[in-house]
Amino acid sequence: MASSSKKPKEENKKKEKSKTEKPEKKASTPQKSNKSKPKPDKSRKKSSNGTPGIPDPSSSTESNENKTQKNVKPNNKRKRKEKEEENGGGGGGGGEATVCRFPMNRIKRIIKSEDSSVAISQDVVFLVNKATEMFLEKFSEDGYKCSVKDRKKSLSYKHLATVAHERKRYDFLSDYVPQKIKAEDALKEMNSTETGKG
Amino acid sequence: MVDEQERLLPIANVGRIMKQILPPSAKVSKEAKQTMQECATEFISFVTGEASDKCRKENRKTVNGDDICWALGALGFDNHADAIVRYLHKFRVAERDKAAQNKASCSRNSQDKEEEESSQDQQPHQQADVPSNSKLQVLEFSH
Repeated sequence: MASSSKKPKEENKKKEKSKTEKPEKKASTPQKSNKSKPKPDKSRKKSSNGTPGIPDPSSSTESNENKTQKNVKPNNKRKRKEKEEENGGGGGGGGEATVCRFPMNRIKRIIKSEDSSVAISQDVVFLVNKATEMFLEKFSEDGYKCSVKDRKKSLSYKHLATVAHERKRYDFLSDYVPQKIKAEDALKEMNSTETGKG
Repeated sequence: MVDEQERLLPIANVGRIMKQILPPSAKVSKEAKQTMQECATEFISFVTGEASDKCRKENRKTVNGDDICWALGALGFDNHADAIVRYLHKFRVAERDKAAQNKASCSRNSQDKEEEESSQDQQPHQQADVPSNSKLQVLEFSH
């Protein structure tokens, strides 16, 4: 009980100290209040799905300076929107070329699972990231064309399987995107192969 | 379940890429997105497997960007190979610029620290120098 009564006094003392310190600092150190502000920005940046790419140091320092005049939250939202715009934009300038859509760590893990003995350079992870993005775009386009031929509004598994089987480029996906067949047809095929062997 | 999800790329990223390339009116089923996740992982394994085989034949231990470009061309992704070579150059230029900027900021930090130490000895109250302290802290924090 006694300890609980002490705590608010200590808090009040701290608040008073901070109040007394603040006006002095405001005149000379408007930027000191930013100590805590950059941290949430970084944590929010990390929480994004893709890697932020290579940030421009000049822009980051300028944005930190601007925070003294403006609130933190709207700047974070603006940064998120800017990032989304960068990711959403077409193949534009150098900034867009260096932004990666997928997490680098995940790409590394997939590469290591394929072959753990081989070492990979940083370039490789970036290039695989970009190549995968381009592959997905192309495969989606081809799948969509198939869905348009099928007169369907939505792209479904069936269209992707059709594309994977029709084009030689996607032969490596034939085992991963098999075409769906009816159970009756599958059983007939199994029986015919068994009778053929026997 | 967790292992499988870690083996695949995030479905949100995959879905975003698909939506961006397709017309706004197009819809994508969940099964299609999941299939694309699997296909992306298989693509990565396919390309890096080919590149690592090439390195093994040439008795090299490290796979580099040029091996990936070669693998894409060998596997029939010629269009991707050309664009990837360009991305590789841009990435390397960006990395060099970043390294140069980091070196420049580190040198500024060391110079500012020396100035502060000398000024601190002379003047205990540093209303004029405090902004530079904050700048240092911001720069250090950014590293």
